[in-house]
Amino acid sequence: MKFKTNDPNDRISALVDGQLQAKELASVMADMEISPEMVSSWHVYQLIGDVMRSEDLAGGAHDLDFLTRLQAKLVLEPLPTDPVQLTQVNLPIATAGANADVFRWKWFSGVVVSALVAVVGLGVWNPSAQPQMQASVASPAVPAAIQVANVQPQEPVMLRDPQLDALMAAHQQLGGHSALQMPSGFLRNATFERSSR
Amino acid sequence: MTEQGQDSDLLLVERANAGDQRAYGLLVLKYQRRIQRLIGRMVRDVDLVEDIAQETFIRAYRALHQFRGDAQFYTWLYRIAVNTAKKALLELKRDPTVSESFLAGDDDDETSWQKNELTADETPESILAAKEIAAVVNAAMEALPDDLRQAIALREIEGLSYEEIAAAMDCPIGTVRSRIFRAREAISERVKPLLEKQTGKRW
Repeated sequence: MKFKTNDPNDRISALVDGQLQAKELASVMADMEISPEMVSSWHVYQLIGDVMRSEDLAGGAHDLDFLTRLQAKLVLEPLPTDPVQLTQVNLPIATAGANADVFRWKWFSGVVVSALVAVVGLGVWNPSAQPQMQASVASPAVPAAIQVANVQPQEPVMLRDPQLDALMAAHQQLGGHSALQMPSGFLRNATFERSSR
Repeated sequence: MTEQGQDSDLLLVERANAGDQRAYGLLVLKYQRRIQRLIGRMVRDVDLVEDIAQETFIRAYRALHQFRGDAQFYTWLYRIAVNTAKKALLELKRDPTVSESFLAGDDDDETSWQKNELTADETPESILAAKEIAAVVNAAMEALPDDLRQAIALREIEGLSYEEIAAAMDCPIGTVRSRIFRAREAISERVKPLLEKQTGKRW
């Protein structure tokens, strides 16, 4: 619909009736900044419509005072935004063990594991075993090469509620199932696990 | 309210959500009379009515991002106003004297209220002022040329769209818009001096 008029209140009237597009509304709002009389016109047009529909809505003399008091409070309010704010959270790297820097402990654990493997291997290996067993052992269906995922060590990036992450990080000792009791089937479990890298 | 009026509300809500508080101010100016009347029917403490109305609009502003336009804005606002009034009454431990229509059920039909009963936001002065405004609006309507009076009545009372009014009056939509605008301006010329007299401010 094309309609031209020089009176700015014509657009206010059209806005009252929902006849303006978003682009036109932006222009009207900008003009209202310059001309507060347009706000008064909006109020009086709304008041007229209310009175025509119901005379007990005629008490509009102090509406602008009400708005002024309200705006003084709204200034203190944060802008309304979407409640779900997905933020990028860089999770902390897990702290190393207290003896991680002591090499002799790593060397000692390596020796112990090697010794265990040797003992178990000697116990299992028997050179006089039956041929079919040898055959079955000799031709295992082992793939020629195992595909290993090329995982690049980097800090994990998650999109989730930062408050929840902080809570879970603070209570990580409670995460997971307890070995001493059955998990509660009706509860949804949430666990925080730090990266080991 | 027609769908078009609702579209206007949604546009204003979107602008307010984008950070334009003036857009929210226009919604306040549009609905505060109905909200105060609603609260006045629930609360019998005249000092509380405006406080609860202010709290209602603050709560609505905080929750504005949740309004998606699925329902009419006033319906959404109405719920917030009722809940705010009930909460305020509980907190203050005053006798709520809630209207029977509210206690009987979750009925949104505010017209079920007994119209002869005064509400808490009414004082003898405010009643007189409202009667003066109503009289001026009615007199201004009577003084309008027939085409202007018919156009604004179809719009404001019957809630017809511009297209429907154009069909009813057998004229272009642009003419409908012009007639409604001129009718509003003619009535405003009589209402604004009265508002100035009542408030002591220039309108």
